[in-house]
Amino acid sequence: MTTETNVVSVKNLNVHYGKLHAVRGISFEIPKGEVFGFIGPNGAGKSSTIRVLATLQKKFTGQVCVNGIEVRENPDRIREMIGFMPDFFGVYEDLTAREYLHFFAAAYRLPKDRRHSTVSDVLELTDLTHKIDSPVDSLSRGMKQRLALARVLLHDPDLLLLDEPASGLDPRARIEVRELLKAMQEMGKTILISSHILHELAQLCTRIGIIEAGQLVAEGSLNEIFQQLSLKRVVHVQIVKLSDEALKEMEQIPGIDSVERHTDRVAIRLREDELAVEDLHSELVRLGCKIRMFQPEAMDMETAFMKLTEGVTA
Amino acid sequence: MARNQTIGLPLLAKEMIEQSARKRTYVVRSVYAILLFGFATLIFSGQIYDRVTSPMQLLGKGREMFFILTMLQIVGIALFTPALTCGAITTEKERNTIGLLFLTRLGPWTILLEKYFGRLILMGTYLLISLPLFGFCYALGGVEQAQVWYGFYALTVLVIELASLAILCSTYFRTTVNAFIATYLIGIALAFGPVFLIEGLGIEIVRVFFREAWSLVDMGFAFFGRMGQLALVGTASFFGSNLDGVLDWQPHSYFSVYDRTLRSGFTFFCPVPILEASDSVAVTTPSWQILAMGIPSLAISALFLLMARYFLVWRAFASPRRYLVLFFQSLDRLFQKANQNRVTQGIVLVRESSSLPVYQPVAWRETTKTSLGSFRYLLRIFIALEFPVVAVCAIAIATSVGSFYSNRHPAIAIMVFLCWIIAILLTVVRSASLVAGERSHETLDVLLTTPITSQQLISQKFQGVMRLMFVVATPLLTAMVMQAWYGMVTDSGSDWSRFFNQPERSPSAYLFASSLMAVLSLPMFAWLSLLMGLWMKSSTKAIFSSLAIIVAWMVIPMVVLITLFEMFHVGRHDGIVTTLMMSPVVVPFLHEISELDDLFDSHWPIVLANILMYGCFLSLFRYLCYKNGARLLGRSEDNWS
Repeated sequence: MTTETNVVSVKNLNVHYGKLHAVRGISFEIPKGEVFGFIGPNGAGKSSTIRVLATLQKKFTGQVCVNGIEVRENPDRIREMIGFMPDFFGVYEDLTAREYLHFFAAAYRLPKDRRHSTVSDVLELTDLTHKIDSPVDSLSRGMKQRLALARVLLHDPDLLLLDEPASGLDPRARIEVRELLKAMQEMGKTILISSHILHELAQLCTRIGIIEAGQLVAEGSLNEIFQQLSLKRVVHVQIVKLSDEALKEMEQIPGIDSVERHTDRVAIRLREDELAVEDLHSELVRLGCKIRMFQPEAMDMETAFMKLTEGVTA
Repeated sequence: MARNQTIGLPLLAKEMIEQSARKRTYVVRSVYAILLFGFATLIFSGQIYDRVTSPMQLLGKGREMFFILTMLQIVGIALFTPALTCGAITTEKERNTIGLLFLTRLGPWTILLEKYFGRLILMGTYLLISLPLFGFCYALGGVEQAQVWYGFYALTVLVIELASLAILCSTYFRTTVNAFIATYLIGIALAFGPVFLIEGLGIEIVRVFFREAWSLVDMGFAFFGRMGQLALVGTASFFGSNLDGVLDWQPHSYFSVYDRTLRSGFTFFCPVPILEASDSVAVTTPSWQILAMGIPSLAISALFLLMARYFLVWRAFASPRRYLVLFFQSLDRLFQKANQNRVTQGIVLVRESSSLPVYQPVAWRETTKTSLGSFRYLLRIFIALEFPVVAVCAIAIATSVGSFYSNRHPAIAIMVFLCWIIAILLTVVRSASLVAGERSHETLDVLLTTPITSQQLISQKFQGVMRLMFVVATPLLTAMVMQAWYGMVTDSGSDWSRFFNQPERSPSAYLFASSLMAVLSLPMFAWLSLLMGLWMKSSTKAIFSSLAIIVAWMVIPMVVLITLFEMFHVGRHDGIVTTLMMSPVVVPFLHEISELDDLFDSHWPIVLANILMYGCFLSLFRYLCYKNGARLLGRSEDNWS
């Protein structure tokens, strides 16, 4: 993948806070239109990396580019390309939602004649039109997060940097934010999102980077990460009148790692690169098994995360 | 549960541990000690050592030194106690830990008193700092041991009273900054309000009110004192002892020797009356009466604590309220109501411009959405602030029969100083919290990722302070105009010729120089505070640091230089005395009381040099803010290197 098509390019990034080495030589790239999930325990270096991209970190080493522009060389230009949402929604308690958005529309130097329509559009997208004249302080946390997402869309940036956008939200608000992020993805935005909620990232992200103690321990699509980890898929199968011979024959099928007999079912562990789940089903039918239940275990990101990380901070 | 755990004082212990672990505790205490010993040395050498020719003449001078020292301690306590106590409860509110305290088995009284005693113990260490100096005074003679103890008693009562006032404000207000400002304002009003009304404005009814009120207090003491004496003497005689003459309660002989308002200048605080009374009685016998003089102050303290107990629960979870905004909003409603009448019929002279930002969003928010907003609003605030100043100054001029400082009226001079203090305080608070406030509300990062440059951000932010400075400077300038008017009324002759030849007697010269110094000093303090706000993480830290720096800037050069001048016998009109200008308060103060010429050789060169110097400081602070803006705000900038 060439640098020209990458919206984000980070090479050997190092961030120090005094004696603390928060980010240790991270490198990754995010192509245009991709949703890149940044996962890691607290203190792993996620926010520090995002702050570098948001031009908020003065001291760092390495090369960090947005749309091919080095962050240190032209931060003012970078600010026009990014929309940053920090992990905490700071409140301007004296503003209404309309004033809040117009405030940032003016800050991003949107032409005056376009501001009203832009503000209406982003409010409609985030389903906050009915709250346009409500004080920001009076909005629920979920609404505030949606308002923050509306804000980052005002100047139509190429890259959205979202630091824990769903933290502290109730399940309904989380789903709303997730749906909103999917809509942004469909709009073709490149998104870098950090989160602790692994299940949601798995649903949303095209690629994932797992960071621990300031180092990127894995990067790629979910399937690639599973393959990197050699994680084996488990399929739970209930077979009518399963004999010992059939069990032995099953163990001989190429691609099956082990077969474990339980009281009501068997757990078959398979190497997916050799035998796909649907092929396993065909093989079992070929052996004459009468299948009552066939349930592949979901690929579990938590397992991958726990396997990759040790709970170490930088 | 172990017995020592059931009777422990967990909150007090936590307070003490926190204070011990904090570097600031030791720094502030050391600064206090340096200031106290520095001032004491300075005054001792200037007032006493220089006037004796042999060491023997020093004997008996302890009395003078003792009074000087006690007065210094009173000033120190008045300055430090509110600052060190007002955060006791507000910090718990700011950290959202007050709810956790209520969930424990500690009752409201326990929480309040443990917090209160935690601060009293801290202030007790400040009192102990002066013990070696008191010992020195006692060693020189002229002061009785009992007087030393009375002095300590007076200071202790003052600490108790001020700490209870600060705790009261701490329970009522949501933030330490609000509690801090309220404590000083209420303290100043209690200490100087009655004196100002009686002496400055000569309002007779206030004098009569306080005289009668204190007469009632005295009568109460006389009654209970006599009853107590009879009970004790009777009990003693029942057991075969004779206490006649030992317990002799003669309230009127002591309570009538002073008038709390007129002679001492303090109505609600007791240290000065106690010191005066202890000086005027035969101190060789224990005087219960002198101790009893602290009882009204202790009763006021108890009342403050009682109120604090009530507010502790009622105001524990109060949401932050911007009192200035609420005040202005109520004022706005009042004006709108008054405008709806047959004559004006709700006429609008100045229409509001667009309510949404156009090109300078930060400036828009600072000037339309914060406490001091639109022009219409400002006009009303202006009227509300102006009226009391004009009224007080007009009354002062109308009722004046003479003047303490030649062509300056003392009451107007006090008004000018009061306006100076309020103007500096409000400007510093607003300016220091401009950026630090964004930081503590966690809104700064988002603002910094917009294309607004750091210089634009600072410049737009400062526009809000400019408006505030305009509002607070107006009453100050009004008071100066009134002082100049008083000068014109009382002094005949050509003002123009005196402008150059006798500027100290020229009202125009006074007005020109004073207003110029005000117009320069306020922005200078504002930019300094903004610099601190850029540097500090929280508004509270930024405000306290700014105020500490400004007070230190005013006081330390004076202490150091005057000490050096006293040591090397520098005369009043020696050229080197001009270095006193290093303190920004010296020239404006002397100019205000018309004593500039008593210290310096020439009037205009000193005034102009002062204006030039502080103009340079203003430019320097402004330059530092702009130059270091991006670095202190914590962002990369195009000129980043």
